[in-house]
Amino acid sequence: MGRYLVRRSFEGVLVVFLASIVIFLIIRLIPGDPAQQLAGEDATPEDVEVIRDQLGLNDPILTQYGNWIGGVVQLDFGKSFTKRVPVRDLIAQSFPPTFELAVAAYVFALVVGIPLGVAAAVWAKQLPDYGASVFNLFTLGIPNFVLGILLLWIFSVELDLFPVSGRVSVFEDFAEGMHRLVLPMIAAGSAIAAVLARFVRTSVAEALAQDYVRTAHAKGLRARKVILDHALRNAMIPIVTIAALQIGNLLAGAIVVEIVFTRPGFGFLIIDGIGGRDYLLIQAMLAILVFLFVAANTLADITYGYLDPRIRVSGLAS
Amino acid sequence: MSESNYWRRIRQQRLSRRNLLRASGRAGLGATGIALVGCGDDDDDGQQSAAQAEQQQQQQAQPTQQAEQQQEQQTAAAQTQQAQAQQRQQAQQEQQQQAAAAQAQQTSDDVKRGGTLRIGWDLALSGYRGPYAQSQHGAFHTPVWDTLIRYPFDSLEPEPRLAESWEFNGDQTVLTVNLRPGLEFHNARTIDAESVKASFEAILLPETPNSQVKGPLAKYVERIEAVDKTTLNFHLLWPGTTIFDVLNFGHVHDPDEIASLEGYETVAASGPFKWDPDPHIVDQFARIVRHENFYDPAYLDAITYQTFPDRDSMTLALAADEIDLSPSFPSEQIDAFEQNPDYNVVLGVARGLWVFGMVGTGRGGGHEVFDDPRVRRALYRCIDRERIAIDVFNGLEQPKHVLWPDYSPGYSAEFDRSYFNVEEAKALMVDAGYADGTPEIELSTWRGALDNAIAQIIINDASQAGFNFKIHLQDRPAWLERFLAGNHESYINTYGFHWLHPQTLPVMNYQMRIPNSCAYETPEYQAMIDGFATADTEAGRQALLDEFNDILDREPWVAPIATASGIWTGHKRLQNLDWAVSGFTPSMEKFWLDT
Repeated sequence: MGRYLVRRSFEGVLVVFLASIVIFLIIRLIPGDPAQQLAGEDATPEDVEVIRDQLGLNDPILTQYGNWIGGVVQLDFGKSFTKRVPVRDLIAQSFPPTFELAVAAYVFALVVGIPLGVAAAVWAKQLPDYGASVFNLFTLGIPNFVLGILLLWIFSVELDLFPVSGRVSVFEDFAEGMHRLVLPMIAAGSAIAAVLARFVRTSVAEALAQDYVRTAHAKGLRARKVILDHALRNAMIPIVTIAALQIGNLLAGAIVVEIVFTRPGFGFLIIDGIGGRDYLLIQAMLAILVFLFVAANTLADITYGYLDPRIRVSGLAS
Repeated sequence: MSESNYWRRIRQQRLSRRNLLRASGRAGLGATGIALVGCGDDDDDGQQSAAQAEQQQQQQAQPTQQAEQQQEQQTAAAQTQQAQAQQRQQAQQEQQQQAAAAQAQQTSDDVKRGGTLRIGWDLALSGYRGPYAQSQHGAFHTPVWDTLIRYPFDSLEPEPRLAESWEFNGDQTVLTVNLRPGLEFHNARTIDAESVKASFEAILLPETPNSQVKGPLAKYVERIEAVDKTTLNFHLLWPGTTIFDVLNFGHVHDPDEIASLEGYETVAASGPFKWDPDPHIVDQFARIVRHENFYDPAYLDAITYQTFPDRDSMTLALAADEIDLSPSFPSEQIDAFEQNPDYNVVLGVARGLWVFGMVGTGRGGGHEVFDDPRVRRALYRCIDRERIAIDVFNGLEQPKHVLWPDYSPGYSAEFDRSYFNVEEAKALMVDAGYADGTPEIELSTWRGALDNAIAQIIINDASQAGFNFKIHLQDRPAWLERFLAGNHESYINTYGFHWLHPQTLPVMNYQMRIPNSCAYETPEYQAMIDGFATADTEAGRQALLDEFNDILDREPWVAPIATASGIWTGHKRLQNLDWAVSGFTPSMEKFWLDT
């Protein structure tokens, strides 16, 4: 298991490193010069050159990359071109709201998705199954930002139950924080819940058809115990993977949703960074998202390997 | 119900956040429906296509009478729209007059002091560059920074701010400025002649980017002299009143912090409000508080700025009473908010112009058709400015045929006429050798819907004269890169400061100076610009301005389209939100909340 862990971690680091190169290069291929953007429409070529020098954009590309990646390993992401403050501070400022939303949405997805999937599997072709299908169709068929607008319309405008914008930290004021978090959480988490529900349904339905489940029933165990302790536990292996893979979608979804609900966070920062060609800011944000995505996947692989020894053995053999 | 009636009903509906979101929700549902329909299989598509073809055939077979009726309805709708726009313009003028009268009657006893004004906008405050500010951040820099003088909204006659008086010497080569006594920066240090001098000298440093101050300052001012604690002499290279442009824009700040370009929160400025670092969240939330030692202390305790990701969410927050004022209000929401008794919609002064740039090949980019002045004159005549003002700007902007406002020394009534004449344009194009039309010309835009709406009207008319435009929408940085390189073939943009002194633009504005964004450069134009340095009489300068207008009329490189104004919308409890009693940007120390 130790070797497997080391190998998966090393692969994860390699992916992040390669992604950092791609991110660094691809941003510079986008038309638009950050120095010109800062200098404005009335800038002279001399003004633009001065700013390019100040930003280090006249250095060779390898030097620029070396300076950046050297800083990143020390958690120094440089200074934002447009906002003129350390990128690390901006991330520290914007990460908590996004993290808060992502965690809330994930919890929502797990709490709704897994029971819904189990119910759909246990009562297949019955009302819970049809209900789950309707939920899946509705939440997967509608983009999360449209769902966000619908929720705003119904619950903020028609029913006047929630505010239309802003965020309060749940650690500062839990009640008010949750009041402003509920709708974004549902908008960001519903699609994930639907994905989970579908996989749980399939996985649990397969498990329910297995001999050991029939045996458990034959032994006279209560149905709830059979479903939860035998069928669901064995069905969890693929679900864990799917749940971990959804973290990437969840972050992307949270970023879009926080724009709809005017919640400050990564979404604002990324849009600002791209609009201003703020290379260091975009690089840092994308690198962090890649890192989180890779970390989640690596964690899923490791967990999968832990849960099913056949995986890590075959992985090492290959 | 006919389509025009439906839209008229929608336009006349009172806006509430319910209506706004209801519409958004319907749009969302509609989009979802379309997306779901689009997911149908190929057979469905085939059936749909067949049905559509059948329907098209049926439509083609409709009698001509129906088309005529439709045209009549459209004409009637357009006339109604035009009448509404004219009514709006008239109502706004009346509103301004009433506000001016109300302000005159208002005494200090009427004013309620205190309170916090909550501003919402879609701007990142980090884009603000302190003394080198761009006008879009006016709602922030006007209350924080102060200037020696300020132009009112409708003339180039300066009004006192930090300077209480000024006078020229005999030949107008030295301007003596007298500061108010007892002025203080936000950090409590004294504002004296030396600090004002240092403020202006810092603008000329190489690391200070070009701005509405730097170009004129470098061009017109030989040196600045601090005579005593409150008196400065500006020694001018050119005589004349253009120096007031510099004083109107040159913000005054503590010299010890001038060299820093690090940001708005580090510089000790001189305006009625000062920076409050405590609640600051970069590009999300900012707060300024009253500067108690300002010579005319503000009524409000504080102003907060909340950044929204877009104008729609900002408008929603305004409708939900989560903010008090929006200084960057979307024009498409005007109708609804105007009819809502809780809100005050104010159209600001024209900060600039919408222009059509025609780029020749002089700088290695551009399009060869625009090397010919006849083609450029033809395009000038293909712009239906009146229609654009009504159809695109809902009657909120004025069609502009010339660059200057009517109070400017550069204004000439001779050139201020309607140029729209497609037949004349066609004749010019034939004369230029484009009887069979031009090759494809790229028309670069970056604002999206608004730019494209203007572009479509121009393209449709210009195509009748032989122009062959194709719109190319870019994002702002990509557009700007090509703009500064003179690489567009043609473009739509706004250009600011047309209400400044006309001598300033050729040394400052990138669409007017040489080299410029349209690659326009002729010895005649260069000589005209240089002429201002040697013209030592008012008559001589006026002759040069006449020549400027003449050159622009004969071989235009930039064609004005319409005014570009700011729209501020605030809750009715906000008092003194009016340009007629303020200036380029409302004097926010005069704002108060009637709560």
